[in-house]
Amino acid sequence: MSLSGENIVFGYHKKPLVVPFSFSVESGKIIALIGLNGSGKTTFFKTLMGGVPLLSGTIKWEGRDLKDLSFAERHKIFSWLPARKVIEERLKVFEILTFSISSDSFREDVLSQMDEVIRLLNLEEFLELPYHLLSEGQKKKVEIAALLMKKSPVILFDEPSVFLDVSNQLELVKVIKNLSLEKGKTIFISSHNLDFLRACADVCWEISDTNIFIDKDIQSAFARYFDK
Amino acid sequence: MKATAKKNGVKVIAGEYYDGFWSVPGSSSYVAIMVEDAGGEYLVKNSAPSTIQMNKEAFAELFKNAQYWRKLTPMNWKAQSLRKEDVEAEFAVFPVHLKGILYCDVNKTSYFEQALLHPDLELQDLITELSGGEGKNFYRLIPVD
Amino acid sequence: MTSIKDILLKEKRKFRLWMLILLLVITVFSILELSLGSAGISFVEVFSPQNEYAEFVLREIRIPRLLTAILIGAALSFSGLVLQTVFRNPLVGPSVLGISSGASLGVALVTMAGFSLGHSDIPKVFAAILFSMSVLLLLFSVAGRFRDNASVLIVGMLISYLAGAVVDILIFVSDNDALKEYTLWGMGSFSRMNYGEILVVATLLLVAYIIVYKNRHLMNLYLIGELDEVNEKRKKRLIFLLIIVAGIITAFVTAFCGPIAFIGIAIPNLMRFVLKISDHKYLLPGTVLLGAAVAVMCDLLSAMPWSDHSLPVNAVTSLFGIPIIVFMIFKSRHKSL
Repeated sequence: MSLSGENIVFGYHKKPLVVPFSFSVESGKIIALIGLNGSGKTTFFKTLMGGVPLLSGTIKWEGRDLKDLSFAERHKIFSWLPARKVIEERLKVFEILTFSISSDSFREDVLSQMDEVIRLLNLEEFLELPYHLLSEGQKKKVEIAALLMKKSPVILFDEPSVFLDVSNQLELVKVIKNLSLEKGKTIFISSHNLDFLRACADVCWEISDTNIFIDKDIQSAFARYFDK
Repeated sequence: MKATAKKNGVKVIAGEYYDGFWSVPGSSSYVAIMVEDAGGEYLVKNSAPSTIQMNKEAFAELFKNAQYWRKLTPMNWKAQSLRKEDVEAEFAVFPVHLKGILYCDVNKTSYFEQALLHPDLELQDLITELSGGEGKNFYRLIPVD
Repeated sequence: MTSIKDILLKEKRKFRLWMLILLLVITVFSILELSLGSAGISFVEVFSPQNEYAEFVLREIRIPRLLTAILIGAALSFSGLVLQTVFRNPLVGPSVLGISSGASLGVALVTMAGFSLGHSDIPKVFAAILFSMSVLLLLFSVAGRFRDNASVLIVGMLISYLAGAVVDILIFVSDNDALKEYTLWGMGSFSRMNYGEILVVATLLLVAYIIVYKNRHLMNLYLIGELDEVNEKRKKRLIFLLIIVAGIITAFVTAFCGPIAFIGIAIPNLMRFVLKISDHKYLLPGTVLLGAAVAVMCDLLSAMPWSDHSLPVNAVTSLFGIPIIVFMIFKSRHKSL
């Protein structure tokens, strides 16, 4: 029970997006987040990251209230991959990876951890290529690799499957499953791609008209989703 | 009506400073011919009729041989005489033989209106001042020691 | 398989090698600059002047010119790099913000609208700094209203045109002598600064460099889009800081040496091309050194030590810089330009 929320309301100052709700998420779970455009999926991610203040209630990570954590501490727990990241095109893959660590010299353990991520995502042969020469699938993998460099236990994916073809989507499913099974990462995926979500998620949250439905069974969530 | 003074070989340079450059009249310029007619020797030898831009060092190279410096730029100069150190400090030139500055304050004299019509008056000034006297028309001699 | 450690080591070695080469080039060019010139002071005399005149030429002409060239080359390349990062555009340079146009307007007012005090440079420098800083302030009062940096760029360009229009009016009504003074100022020169001024600008550059170098990780994060969205505040603060720093440096350089063209745009690109890397940890020192080396080279060419004449520095830097920029445009066929 690592991440939990009690009577939380998120949204913007004058416009709460949800009625108060509570949740708890075990580590290693993959949570699918569905809802129409503007229903608040991304706002929820921004709230966790500290970019948007929580309107009421408390969110706790391993018993500590997020409010008591500094910006940097929060970013050690959560990392967020927006749907489209503006990465300077000329950067080489290894630079994108090293930049996300923000250090001049890397200790051996950091280096070997980087190598491990690179192996995990099969990026060895692209390391010295500039970003603009990569395919969409490779770009996504580089972005995920950069995210993993930060070693945060909770990862928030915003539309990770967009722009990807079927084979790249399948590979991404594998990577994401691997992250939860082997690394014990807690992963939120916000997406409109139901097939993709069905393939990876354990739990499904649906935001609908300021209500949040939390389903253990992903199929019933989808069924309700299609009923409307 | 060409009056030419006896050659006395007094070495003269002319030039104005603008932001890192020296604007120097060429050796076929009006000023150069005036100086030669006044008996002096104009130090620029490039047969250019117009003004050329020189770098500081090229000008310094000419300037170190000059005995007189003919200077026009309007400035409120009150000095009656200058020491070589002052000249060096103010203009970043190195006066070795400099005896005086033939200084024409174009704001206080009618140089631009009159000198072209009366080259004789300017020549008169130059002849007098190159032999150490005080000109009456346009130029004021500021002795340097 | 290549491990990340090998790549990082390789980059570090390549960087060190290039820095060594650049230091060597600067040394060689500096010695050339000190020993070449119409005054015919020999190479040996550079180290022990034989007479007062040689000493004067070295002390008052060649050494300040060399120091100015090194300083200005470094400063312009530095602010060019910072602005290229801020605007994520390799074709941006210190002139884009309208800062140098502001300086030009200040100088035009002094020289052509009759605020000149004769031989002294002080009113010109003062007006140039005053006007370029006002442009910077104006830019910020406007920029606060926009979300993206491109608007700042557009406003900067508009300010340039506005300043240019006023300068044109002044040119139209001014007399020959003033016009000449303004034109020569605009051609740029490294022979204008005295030791005191060099010290002032060098101190400023040092402070600016330290401030920016401390933010190198943040600049790198900015390049990979890490500061977007959630770190919006931090990003705004970083961009504000970088533009202010680059603006002040450009203002002072332009005030003292005139608008020196293309060094600021070309050098950061050249450095990225040479190192094939974008890490600010390397780019910042590399760009500063390369800028110094190229500026000294341009100055050597512009002084034309074999003749009495000299070319305006601006012409030489343009002749050098423009081919590099054209090359960059052709090289980056991909959409990222």
